Amino acid sequence: MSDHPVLIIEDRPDIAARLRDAVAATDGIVLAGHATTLDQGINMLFDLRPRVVLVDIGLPDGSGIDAVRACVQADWDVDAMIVSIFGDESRVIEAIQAGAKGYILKSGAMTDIGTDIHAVINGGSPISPQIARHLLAMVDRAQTKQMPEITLTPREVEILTAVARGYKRREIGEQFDISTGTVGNHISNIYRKLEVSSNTEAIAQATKMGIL
Amino acid sequence: MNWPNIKLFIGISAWVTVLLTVLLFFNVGRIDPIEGAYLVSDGQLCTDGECAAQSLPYHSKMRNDVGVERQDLQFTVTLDKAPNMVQALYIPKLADDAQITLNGHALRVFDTGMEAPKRYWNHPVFITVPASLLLAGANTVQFTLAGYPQEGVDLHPFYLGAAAVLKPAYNWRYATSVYAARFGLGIMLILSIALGALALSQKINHTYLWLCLSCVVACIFLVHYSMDTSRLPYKYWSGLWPFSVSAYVYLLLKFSNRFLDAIIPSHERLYLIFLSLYVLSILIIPEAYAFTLATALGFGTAVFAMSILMVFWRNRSKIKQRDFYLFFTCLSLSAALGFYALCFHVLNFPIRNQPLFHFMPIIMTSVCLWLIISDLIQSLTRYESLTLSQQRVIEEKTTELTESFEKLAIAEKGKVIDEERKRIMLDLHDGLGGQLVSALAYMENKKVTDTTLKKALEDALRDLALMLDSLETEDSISTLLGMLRTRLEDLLAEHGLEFNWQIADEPKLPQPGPSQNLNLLRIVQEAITNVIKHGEATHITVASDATSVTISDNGKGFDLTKVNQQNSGHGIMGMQRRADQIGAELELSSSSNGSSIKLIWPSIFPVKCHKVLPF
Repeated sequence: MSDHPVLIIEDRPDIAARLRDAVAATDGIVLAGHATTLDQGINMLFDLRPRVVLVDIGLPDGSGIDAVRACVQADWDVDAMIVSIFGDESRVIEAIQAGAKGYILKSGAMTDIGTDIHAVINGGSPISPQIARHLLAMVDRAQTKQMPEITLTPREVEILTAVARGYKRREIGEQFDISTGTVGNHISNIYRKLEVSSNTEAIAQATKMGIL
Repeated sequence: MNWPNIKLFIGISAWVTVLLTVLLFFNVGRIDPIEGAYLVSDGQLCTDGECAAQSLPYHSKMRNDVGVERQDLQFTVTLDKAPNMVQALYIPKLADDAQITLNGHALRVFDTGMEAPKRYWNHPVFITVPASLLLAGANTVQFTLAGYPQEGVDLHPFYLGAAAVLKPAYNWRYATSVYAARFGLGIMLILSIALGALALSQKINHTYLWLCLSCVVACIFLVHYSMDTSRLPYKYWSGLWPFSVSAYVYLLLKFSNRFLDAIIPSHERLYLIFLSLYVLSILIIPEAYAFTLATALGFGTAVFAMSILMVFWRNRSKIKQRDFYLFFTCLSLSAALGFYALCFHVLNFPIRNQPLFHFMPIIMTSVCLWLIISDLIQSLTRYESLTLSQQRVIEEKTTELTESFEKLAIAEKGKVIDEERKRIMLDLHDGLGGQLVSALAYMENKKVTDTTLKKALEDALRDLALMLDSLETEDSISTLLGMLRTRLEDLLAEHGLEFNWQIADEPKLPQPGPSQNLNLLRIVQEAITNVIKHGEATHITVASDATSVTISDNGKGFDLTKVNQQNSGHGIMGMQRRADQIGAELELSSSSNGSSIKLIWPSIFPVKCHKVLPF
């Protein structure tokens, strides 16, 4: 099996260099290209047809979310990941709703970056306590304001609650007596539900209104 | 008329008859003997020099004729001795005019001659007589009565006696007849003006107009009862004043119908036609029949008054009970007074000698005014309670509005602060954060191995992350601790440490908010980095419940006496200061098996069962 091509869209040279190094240092993935603007990035996306796109949200000529949407509409299998400094929850949530599969931390360890990319390729979804908290709050709001349903199962809510409190997937699995992989599947399901619900007009409206 | 109506008519007739009987029974103005005075009730009626015995009261025959009706009567009063005090002739009722002589001396003469005798409908007469005019033995009093043939002339028993004895009786009689009528007239005039002004101010509601007009027409018949009306043409006055009584009844009906909201228009119209016919008739009828026609009108009015009473009785449910009984009683009393007055007109002999009809307008107008006032009082009461409730509503609404305005202002302010906060966060994140990350990446890319610089940059980045986290997530300390864990995990791994994560309950600070959260996070971060630096431990346990956060390790512990000598910013002193700001106690403990830092604060909920999660 050939290495998965990775496209980096990042305007800061040092961060870009770091991401390049991390991709280079990770087995199974290979750098396809590096763009420094949104425009260039979207062109390269369709030229290079990568498997994974690492995109910074704050690009000089636009929002990285547009690149995420382009990935969703692409006719080949491509996952977008947001490159974030600390997590930057609200923007990450927005990106997830647009179709991003996760995020990677700019300051994270090289190995972590590689692991997270592999996790996404394998269908996983990285999640932080803050993102979990946001998701829980969104589910609450959806219930009280009769917005299009984001219905989570009780188990999903339990897992999100645990994530929001800082527990790791392994610890959560031990608590619920399920495997770490199952926990990851639950989280991926939650992501999918969020993405599906975000495709409706109402969520877009709610986002505009600043609820999300 | 069907049977219930006949029954009602009989019932109301009986009721009015009872009232009339009571009036007759009281026989107001009865001429009784007065101690110290002669009551003259027997004399002679002289026609063309021929005299015949005649007892009083006397009433001449009524005949339909014009001109003057004249009758001569003479009376003999026999005195034991000549009086020595001033004497008086007191005639309680003189309907028309009279010329009176005593022993040939004229006591009273016709002012206007015989052509138009004065019409004192309701007057007592009091004539002072010098004691010298009276003689011991027989004294002769001669009367020449002058009046109008259609009504006839009459004379009631009269008194001769000491002026001082008769004066009080005369005064009382005058007050209850002439003065009472004049008083009524005055009242009606004032009310006409007042109600007229009220009626003018009410463009739509004509209730007061009818009452005002009723007062105006009442003035007409009250003039008849209180003044000499001989200067007015006999035919027209005789036609007018009974007409004013009928009009009065009509206008009162109009008023009460509208005021009591029980409108019976067909009766009004019928009566209006009847009155119009009367007016037409009186204009064309010969003078000799004017009084007879007026009497017929009186009967018509009486029948109408009865029908009004019936209608009121039938509609009593529509009228407020108290108002109805008051109004009905007064209306039937007025009807009885009308019948009483009609007796004076119709009967050829006077059954009673004092007219009472002039009290009628006062009674009726009083009750109408009472209805208006009671209505006004009710309106005022309603208005007052309405005002009060409105005021209460206004106060409530004002409070609500003020509160919502305040909330809105707070929300607006909060929104502005929130937006500003977001902007600053974004700036810190993308700007400062970006710079720090870039600097670290640069060092990594260029293989710069200055550990001090690297550590400083990493500390700065962590501190910035801490600040941004506490702003981003202000409602959940457990999430903030989770984020802290995520960031420190790599650092711990570098030092061979692992977290033992025991976040069970959501910690609730006494005064929640980003600043307090940041203080708490800094204490926790400080405690964790202290363990990394000095603890020589393998596990760091972070545990929390609603009122505490504990960071403990399994290292070698530390010397409590030395900790305070450290730099206050990074040491226990700094933690203590931050704990104070949160309102929490900082508990330190250390042993050779490890150390523990516990932050504990009072619960914001006095008693609460916290939901325990399975961690």
